[in-house]
Amino acid sequence: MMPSAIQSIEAAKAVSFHRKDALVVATSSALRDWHTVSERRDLDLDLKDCMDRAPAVGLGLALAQPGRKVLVLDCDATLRTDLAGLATVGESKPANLVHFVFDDVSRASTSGLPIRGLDNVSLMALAKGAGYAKTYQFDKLEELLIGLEEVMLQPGPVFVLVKVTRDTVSQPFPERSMAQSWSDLRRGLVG
Amino acid sequence: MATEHYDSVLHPPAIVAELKKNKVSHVVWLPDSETNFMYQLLDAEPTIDLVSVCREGETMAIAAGLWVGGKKPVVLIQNTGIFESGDSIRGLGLDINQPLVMLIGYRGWSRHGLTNDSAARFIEHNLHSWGINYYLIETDEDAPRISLAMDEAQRTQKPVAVLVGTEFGS
Repeated sequence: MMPSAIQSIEAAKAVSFHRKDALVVATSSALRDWHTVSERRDLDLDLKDCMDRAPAVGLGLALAQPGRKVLVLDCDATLRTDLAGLATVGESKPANLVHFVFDDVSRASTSGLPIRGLDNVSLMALAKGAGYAKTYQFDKLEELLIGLEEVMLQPGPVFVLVKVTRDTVSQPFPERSMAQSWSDLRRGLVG
Repeated sequence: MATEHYDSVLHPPAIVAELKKNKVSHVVWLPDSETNFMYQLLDAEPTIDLVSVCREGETMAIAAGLWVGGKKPVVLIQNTGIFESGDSIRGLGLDINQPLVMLIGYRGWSRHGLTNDSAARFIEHNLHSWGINYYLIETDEDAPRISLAMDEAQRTQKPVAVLVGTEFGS
């Protein structure tokens, strides 16, 4: 039986609802959902390449813009490829960083095939041990919608694990190139 | 025949002075035993923030985030770390036009005889394959090449490397 989880697109909408003027670094499957629901694409940084580096990019952005909230929209499979990034974030302790990880219980990124042994790894425990200030886990949409209010008020770094399911046919990546996305955001922030 | 003599001493203050001159805001680095003098100086320098990483490939990504947010970072890692960082240099350096200066410890470099260290033998070939230009610094007198690299990175909107070909003097 599949564990309780939220449709990934609904989870993305919930984040968008609470986002206000936060900067958002989105990668992999999270980016596929995010660009279809984001209402502030001018504040979005797309990472459709080097997907394991979303926490590191978010950390840099958070340090550069300490007065703004920075949301990282990450996935379980991408985080798995650079777990050391959790410790790097934990050591720097950016108070304005919220690191979302969309944990796909339907395993769409591997065509439904489980990564052997991945269930033995607790991303929540790793984040706690790496020095994140607070961790949350959600698997029901109503609780996510209500809980995000508290999440967005917490001093970071905050880690939020969201159990999601994805459709078998995934959304395409955004059409704009990464270079364009980065250039647009930099122009908006720096002028 | 004249004997060529190199006083291969590079002191961290010469590098820090170059970073300050170029208004570098952050040094993103992997702490190691070679750079402890540099760490003490940078830690005491109020105009430069240190960001330490667990793996070298994170340095380019953190620098990219800092740059997009309006800061002026450099990265400081050993040549071995460049091999680990290949995908980040490609995707988050070259592909997004990041004007990043990478200070790279040139482990194994020698002007004399053969080097048995493959990290030294391969590093310049790697930089060539990406089309990344580089400068070599070995003494305090070479330190102004860091400014050349900073200027070139801004002008070309590309990463530029500075190979640090000696251990730091204390």
